[in-house]
Amino acid sequence: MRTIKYVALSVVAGLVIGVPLWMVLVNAAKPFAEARTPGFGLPHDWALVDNFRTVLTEGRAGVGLLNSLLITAGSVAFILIAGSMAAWVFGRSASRPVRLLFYASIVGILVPAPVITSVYLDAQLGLQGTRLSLIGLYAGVYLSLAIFLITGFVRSVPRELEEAAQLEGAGRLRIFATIVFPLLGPVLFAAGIVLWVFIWNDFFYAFFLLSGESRQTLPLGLFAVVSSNSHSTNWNYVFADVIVVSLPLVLVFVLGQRRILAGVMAGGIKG
Amino acid sequence: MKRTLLSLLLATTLLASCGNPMAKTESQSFPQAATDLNGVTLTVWQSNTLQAGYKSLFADFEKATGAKIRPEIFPDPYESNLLTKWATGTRPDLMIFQSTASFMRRLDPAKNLYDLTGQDFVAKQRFGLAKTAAVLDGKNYGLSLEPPSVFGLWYNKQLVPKPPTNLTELVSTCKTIKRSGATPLYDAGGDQWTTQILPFMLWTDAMKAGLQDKLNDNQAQWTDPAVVDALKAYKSLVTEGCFNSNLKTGTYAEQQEKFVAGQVAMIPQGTWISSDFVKSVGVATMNQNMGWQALSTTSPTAAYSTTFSVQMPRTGNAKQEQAAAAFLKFASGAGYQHFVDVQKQAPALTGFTTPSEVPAATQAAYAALESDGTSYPQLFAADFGPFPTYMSKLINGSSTPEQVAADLQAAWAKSAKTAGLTGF
Amino acid sequence: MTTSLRARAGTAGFLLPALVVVAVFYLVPNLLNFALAFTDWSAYKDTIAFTGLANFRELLQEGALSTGLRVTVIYAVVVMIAQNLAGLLLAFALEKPSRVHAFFRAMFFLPVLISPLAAGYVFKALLADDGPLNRAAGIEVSWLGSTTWTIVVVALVNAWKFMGVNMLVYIAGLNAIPGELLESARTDGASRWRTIRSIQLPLLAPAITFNFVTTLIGAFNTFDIVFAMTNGGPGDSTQVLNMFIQQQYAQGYYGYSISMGLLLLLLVCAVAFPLLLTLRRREVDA
Repeated sequence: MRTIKYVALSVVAGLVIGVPLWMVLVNAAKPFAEARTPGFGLPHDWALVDNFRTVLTEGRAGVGLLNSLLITAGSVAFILIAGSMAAWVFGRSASRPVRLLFYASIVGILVPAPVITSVYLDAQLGLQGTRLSLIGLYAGVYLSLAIFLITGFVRSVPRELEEAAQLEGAGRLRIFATIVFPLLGPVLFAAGIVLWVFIWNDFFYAFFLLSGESRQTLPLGLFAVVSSNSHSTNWNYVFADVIVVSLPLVLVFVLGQRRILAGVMAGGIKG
Repeated sequence: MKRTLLSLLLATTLLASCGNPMAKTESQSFPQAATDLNGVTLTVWQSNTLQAGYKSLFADFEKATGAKIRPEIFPDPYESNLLTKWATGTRPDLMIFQSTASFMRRLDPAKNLYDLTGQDFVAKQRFGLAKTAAVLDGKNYGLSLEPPSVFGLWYNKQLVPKPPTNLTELVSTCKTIKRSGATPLYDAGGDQWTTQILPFMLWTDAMKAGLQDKLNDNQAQWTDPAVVDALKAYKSLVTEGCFNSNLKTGTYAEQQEKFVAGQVAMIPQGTWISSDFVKSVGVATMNQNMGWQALSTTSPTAAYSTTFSVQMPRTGNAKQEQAAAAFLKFASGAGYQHFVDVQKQAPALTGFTTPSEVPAATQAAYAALESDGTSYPQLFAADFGPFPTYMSKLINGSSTPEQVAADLQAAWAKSAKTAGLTGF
Repeated sequence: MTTSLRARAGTAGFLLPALVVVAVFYLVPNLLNFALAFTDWSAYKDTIAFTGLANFRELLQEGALSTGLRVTVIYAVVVMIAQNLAGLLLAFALEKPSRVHAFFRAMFFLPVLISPLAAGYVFKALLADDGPLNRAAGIEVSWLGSTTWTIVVVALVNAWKFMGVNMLVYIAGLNAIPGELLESARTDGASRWRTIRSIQLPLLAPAITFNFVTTLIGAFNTFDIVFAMTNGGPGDSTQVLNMFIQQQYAQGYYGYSISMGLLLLLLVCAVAFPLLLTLRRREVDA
């Protein structure tokens, strides 16, 4: 019985995950002419290194990597810190105005950020086209999810420690920094992963908000590679770039797989 | 909470009552071309369909002046991709795009681009380009390095001994070829954009007879019988089986391959395709196998439209602008002959020579431009929407020719009204 | 008195960074929707004027509204069903912790990590007319060339990309079911199917709520996958609302595209909130 199940699972995983993955890998290793109509066969001539070199130089994957890191790390760090601070208040206060503020700040879980009015706003603020405007948008939308998850967690943390520290005369900032924040580890990890994946992979908002090649993120770079030849798509470069765009997350995932899946599950079920 | 909401609303209203944040006003006269360009990098926004000549022109310019050129390529549909970026406020030093009036209008050139009208290279433009390319409200905003794109029928001389010169002949030629087993016509419904060309060709007679002017003045509508008939003709060629069987998903690349391989007898295409053919089969084979024929509904009249031109945005950076001006000078002077030679095209400026490798078919297309009455330019004052999408609906049977015409008219009216054209 | 004031100031200080950013970068743009949707803001003019309902009238006349809504709703429904079905099946298969299960969970979670744009390009290549799938299987299916079925194909790719999330949430839900319940069902001689139907599925209600709502909202706001795979075609048969918004914006019709954005916002609210409430209520009943 179990063997049948494993065989069935292997077949499904092979078809659903393996086939697309294989296609990406073999065609990323082919020279242009061979990859013109992508196929499942192994390359006759291997051009993997050449393709990566082209993607890195002409596709500016290095710049993209740097920008993606900067924007994702900046957004996620801000969201987690500001979110924890707010969530601590939300989790500890039962007053009506605070509860209303809580609801106002988690609407973003359901209602997405409007993209074009954001462009308008950024133009008014003098932030048009900048990385900061994109970080602001990500923070504005995804603080909702972070606050929601962290507040739930704060409520499950006993108050005693905080009260003891308060009696000893510790200020609020110190209590937060030395006692509360460290306790939030598990939920910050879970929320951090989810946010990191959302923001790292986002194309839509970056497409509208960022301007100039020097600011482009990895997905914007992929779009540029796909579009650089009008006559036929250079699938070899496209797939090489797909690997470049995906590899950082996949590597991290493979290394921390167990904790990541457990973290995401813990975060999800609270919803 | 109430107060927070209130102040938010207040802030919102304040923001909304400001002017258009994407409008910028500047007025600077055309900059002097710089002479020392070492250490200057020019950003050039360009369409992804530019041919080899531009690359070599950039390299020549870099070598001659010490400047660096950094091309930024905009994918199809480049208009929407470019304008999405343009709206973020970014400006390149130069841009090379197909400069139709409706595209130019969206750039708001009076504010954002340099007026090139008085420059000496504009006076040297051939094929009437000074009056048709990158022109808006009588001002010229672009330098055209290429002749206009002429739309016509490329045919295989073996399969089509006598090319059709009007719609009736096209239909009968199609029938003859079908009997021989070859595919009469190929269009690339998968890439969509190629499907505009045959309608362009077919409605040219009517446009030349006055319809285009009437449309531009809102004296006529796109639902005009002439437009509907052109679309109906396309549709009936589809039902007759004149097109490739994979019309819905065919690609531009395959269109070329099948035509070169002799499996397809005719393709409605622009002259830009010539250099691809030169690359794939060479001029000698082309001259032997390929012909070009102007065709509209009732007469052999070729439609043409202006193609790429180099435009110079106002960036506010004097040093960059002087370098950009130097590029225009170089491109229209010392660097131009080599550009033409690499492009294997007729020169768009007087005083240069046509390279020997321009194929006979392409020369026939340019001849149609230069002799009187055999061609007519597409110069539409506004935009008629995503025509390739409408054509795709026509091909897929989800729109009738009448609906496509109505879609064109709706998009046209919207564009003209938004742009504030007189008469709308 | 002073301590309470200071405490309040302290509270405000902790809320401020988050609230300011949410207000400026999220709430203000959302409220701007309600103002700018009624204007003629465009690339063509220097000024912005209120034009009342003109944009909405145009949306109706152009047929963009009905097309956009129809396409988006079909897409969202297919995504919701497929993604949850796949997630649920995988969750039941991989529910118990084991080494092999961990491996398969990781496999099926992999697409979640890939950018949706990249996923779209990968399937565009895979499903092309002369693409590897058709050639390897010896079939001639025009996956991306049908005005009826391509929207379903694109929706299935969306489900492929995100089913890993739904799977994990369902697994977490299943693992939260007390072991004694399943144990007693087994001693009562209940079949596997009966256990699933009368114990596991009802107790999964919170997970189902979460997954249905997030999947639906995600699907309404889709862009990247459609943009990469079909760019709205063939015809306008896969032109979801965000595709339309991007196209109009790119043509310089800013106010007009915002009016469609406002409708998308209202659509999400109209569907998400009632759904959340009904599913929550059922959860309590169950």
